[in-house]
Amino acid sequence: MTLKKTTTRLLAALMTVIVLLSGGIMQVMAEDNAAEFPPKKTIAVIIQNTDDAVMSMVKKLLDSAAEALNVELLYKTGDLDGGAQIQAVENVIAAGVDGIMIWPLADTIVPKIQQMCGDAKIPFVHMFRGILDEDIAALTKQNPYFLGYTTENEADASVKLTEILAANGNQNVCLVYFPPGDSTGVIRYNTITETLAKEGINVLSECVLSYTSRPQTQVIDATNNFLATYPEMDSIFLLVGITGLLDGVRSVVESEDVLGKVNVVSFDHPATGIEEMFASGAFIGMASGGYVDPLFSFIILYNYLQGTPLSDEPIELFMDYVIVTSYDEAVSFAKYYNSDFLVYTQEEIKMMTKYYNPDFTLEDLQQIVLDYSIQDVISRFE
Amino acid sequence: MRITKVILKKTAMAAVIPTGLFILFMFLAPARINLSVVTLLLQQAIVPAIIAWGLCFVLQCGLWDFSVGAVVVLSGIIGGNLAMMWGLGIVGIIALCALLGLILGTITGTIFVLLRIPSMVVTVGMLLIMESLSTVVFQGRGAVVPDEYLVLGDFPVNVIIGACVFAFAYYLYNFRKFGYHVRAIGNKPQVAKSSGININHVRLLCFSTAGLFAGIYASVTLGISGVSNSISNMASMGVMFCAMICVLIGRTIDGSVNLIVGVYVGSVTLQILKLGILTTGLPGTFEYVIISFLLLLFLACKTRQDFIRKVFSMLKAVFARKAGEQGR
Amino acid sequence: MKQTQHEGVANQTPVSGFFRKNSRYLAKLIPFLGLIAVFTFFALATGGRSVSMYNLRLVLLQAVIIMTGGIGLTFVISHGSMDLSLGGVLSLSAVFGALAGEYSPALTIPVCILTGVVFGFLTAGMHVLLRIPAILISFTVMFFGRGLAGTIVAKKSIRLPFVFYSLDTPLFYFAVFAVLFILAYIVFEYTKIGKYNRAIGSNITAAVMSGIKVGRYKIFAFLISGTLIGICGFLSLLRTGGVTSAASGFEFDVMISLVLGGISLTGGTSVKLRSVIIGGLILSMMGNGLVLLSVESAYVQAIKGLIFLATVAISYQRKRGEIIS
Repeated sequence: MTLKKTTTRLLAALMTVIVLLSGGIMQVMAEDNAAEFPPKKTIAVIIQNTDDAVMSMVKKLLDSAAEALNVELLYKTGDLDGGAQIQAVENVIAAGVDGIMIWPLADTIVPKIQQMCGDAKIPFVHMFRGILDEDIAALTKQNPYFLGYTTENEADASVKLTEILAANGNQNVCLVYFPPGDSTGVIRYNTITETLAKEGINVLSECVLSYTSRPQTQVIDATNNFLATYPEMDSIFLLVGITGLLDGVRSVVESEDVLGKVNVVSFDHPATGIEEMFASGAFIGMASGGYVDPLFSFIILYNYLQGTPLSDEPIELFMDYVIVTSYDEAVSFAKYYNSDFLVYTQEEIKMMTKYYNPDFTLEDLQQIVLDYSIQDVISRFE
Repeated sequence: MRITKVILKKTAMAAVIPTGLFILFMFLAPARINLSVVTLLLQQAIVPAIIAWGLCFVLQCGLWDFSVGAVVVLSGIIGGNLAMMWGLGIVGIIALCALLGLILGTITGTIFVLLRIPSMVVTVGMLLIMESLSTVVFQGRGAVVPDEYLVLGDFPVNVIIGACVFAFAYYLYNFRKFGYHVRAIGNKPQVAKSSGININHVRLLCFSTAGLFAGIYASVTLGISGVSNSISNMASMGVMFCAMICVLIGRTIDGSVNLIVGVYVGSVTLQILKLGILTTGLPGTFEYVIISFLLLLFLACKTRQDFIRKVFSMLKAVFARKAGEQGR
Repeated sequence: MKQTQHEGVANQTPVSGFFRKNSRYLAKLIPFLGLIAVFTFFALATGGRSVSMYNLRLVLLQAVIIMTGGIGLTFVISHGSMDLSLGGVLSLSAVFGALAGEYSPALTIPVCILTGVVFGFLTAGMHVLLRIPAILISFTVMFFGRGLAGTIVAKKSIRLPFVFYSLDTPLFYFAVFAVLFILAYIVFEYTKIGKYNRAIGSNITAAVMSGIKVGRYKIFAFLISGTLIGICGFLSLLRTGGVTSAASGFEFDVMISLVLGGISLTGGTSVKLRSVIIGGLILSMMGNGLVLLSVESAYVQAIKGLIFLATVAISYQRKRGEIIS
């Protein structure tokens, strides 16, 4: 009993000292910080991962921009459900970031995110995702701390890829996709199925991948099952292109007894192996190159943080995918969209900021986004 | 004659679950599912059975191994990248991945034996650590192998590998002391210990075996798709779940069929399910719903075989009585 | 010559004697010391940022759902079982609750809780009646729940009825948890449900011999766990405004938090509800603190795994001659 009393008192005293000490440290730090020149900006990047072939290019591009503009990036990855993402936003706000870039999992969590950022007075932008839900979009756009988003012309790319199939004479397609829980997935799925119907292409079957198991093995089994149960199938449409998915399909459709019978179109594949894929003739279309999207969101946010926002209203940027339809285009894509090459130099990135280029306007940024294409990249680097 | 009868009876028992399921899907999607897909299903079932054969040693010993999926990912990434760096051929990649799987499994087993804490805890902890490592090693890029390695996924290479692994697992489980000890410990650990079996040694070997088979599985799946991605958020647990189902289905019929054969039957059953779900238009996410439901059903049937026998004998008696009445 | 106990005692140093005399109490102190250690570490490493009022409130808020799930899991662990279905059932509760809320917001909470209860009953029923290990059933139910929730979420946008948005305040979460914890404490410490479950966990044979209906009380424990997971489903819906995908790893987070809180995984009389709060706070502080320190997410998972292993290794009560599975 004596020991218990003693330890309880000691613990209570220790806790009190620590809290006071930490409070004191914080006070000293605040005073020290106030005396310095305004600190470099810290931006949190809440993104699914930075490891796979495409996301590592995103990270490389953002790191290059951050280095050029004296920004510290705090990456928060691995949050794959709504609760985890909200927790991530809370924690980065607590970490004292100046701004947040987020790839939201779904529209349903955006109201909470905008409320938290609004309460904390932290500006935020979306990357890779717009807001499809009209009510949520209206609510979020009212928030002065919502600076806007960059997203891709999903509908346009979906139509183009479907038209490639139609032009190639494909009649019977099987679809492969992850459950379309967000705006990108929904737009792709809806546009593709509508356009397929319009072009008279039959959808024989749909393989909805599960996150609970390795997608590569799922897609290989699915492709083999398609071939076995739908002998009339002449094409496969991959609505997502995470690393390994297209390779899995490729391993089946380029095999000896299948080559020439099935064509493939896909979204989002990285450059690795793309030339070989188009060389075999199985692959006839790909929409990719969207990895620069976060850079444009970063530019929106950075300009705001420097006190020179590009607009008083939320900015909505829609960029085109790079569409690859032939071996030659695949060669160019592989040359400029690999992990060793950045499609915008640090100098070009600096010129996208009012800090280094006071004449830079929103229209200039919109023009850069509009011009973005593989021809644009080639013209700037050759 | 008698031996033929026994073999036929065992084959029939082995085939009853997958055949029943196949007939059901033939009925639901007659235009799509027919006998021509049987060869595909039998072939598809080989690779998932590899990891299930390894896991069955652990499960039969009364232990859990949630980390087996993470072993697959990590051994595939490290083995694949090292094989590329060192210019190893196909045999080299299999050997390297298998060795890495063996090492990782042995580490897990050693931690289990040394720390003397539940296997569930050890393997969950190892799963978290190994998944993290997979996102760190080789800058988290995973492994990508060139086209010449993709032959591992083609017929007949995949069948040959599967057959070799099956033979090894069968031999290990049925003809070695190790397999006997695994079964003894799984049945009654205290009795096994009292009879002089070194429980810790056997259990460590179970984890090593599971790791070895996981490594082989990693090399074959790397050879099928050419890519092995890093993984996080416990996503590798799905691999363990599917392997566990194969083992549990195998256990359901192990009264009539050897467990190692039963595990393959379980894998065939799973492939039939996946094909059936695809052709009936259900989403892939629903796969786990149906698999889980069926698994609970199998478990219920297995544990209450006495109840099921009682029901069957009651039904038999009712039919016999009715036949007798009609006869009169 | 064999030492007598008297000679052994006489050979003790004051320090070793102190530790031997108070070893049980000192073992109980470890989770508290762990909490202080984590608190201190992050307080110093983040320059005091982790102990700002805003951040401390955040840590408590982020711990609420894990702690609520932990209360239920404590009941299950107390009788020696394990429930891995928490995440799957939580997702399903949230999905079904939100779907019911589309017909009438008044149905949201009851449906969330009912879903949890139904699955708790299913797990318990199969465990008790069919004698299947609870861990196996619950593992399967986890995938069932995730699969079904994932399927529904893919087809339909699952949103919280708007009328509940005003409840999304820290005060509400703290109040709900406080009420639940107090009720659970009363049930766990002062009613037959709690006492008998711990008795079953201590020695099931003795429990049976003394007339305890083991099956009935195990079912009670799972029903309590299911009810609390249903409530977690509603809280999760409230926090996120909807369901985006099936929660993965929730059950292991709850388990890890309880282990960090000093719970005995073998169950028995040493199981205490205080593990819920201590462990929940430690886990939440770690998750929050590692972000404040800009530690890469990849390492966060590994740190979690290492600390989990280390904590169980230190605190697990091993009996001589016991064969651990």
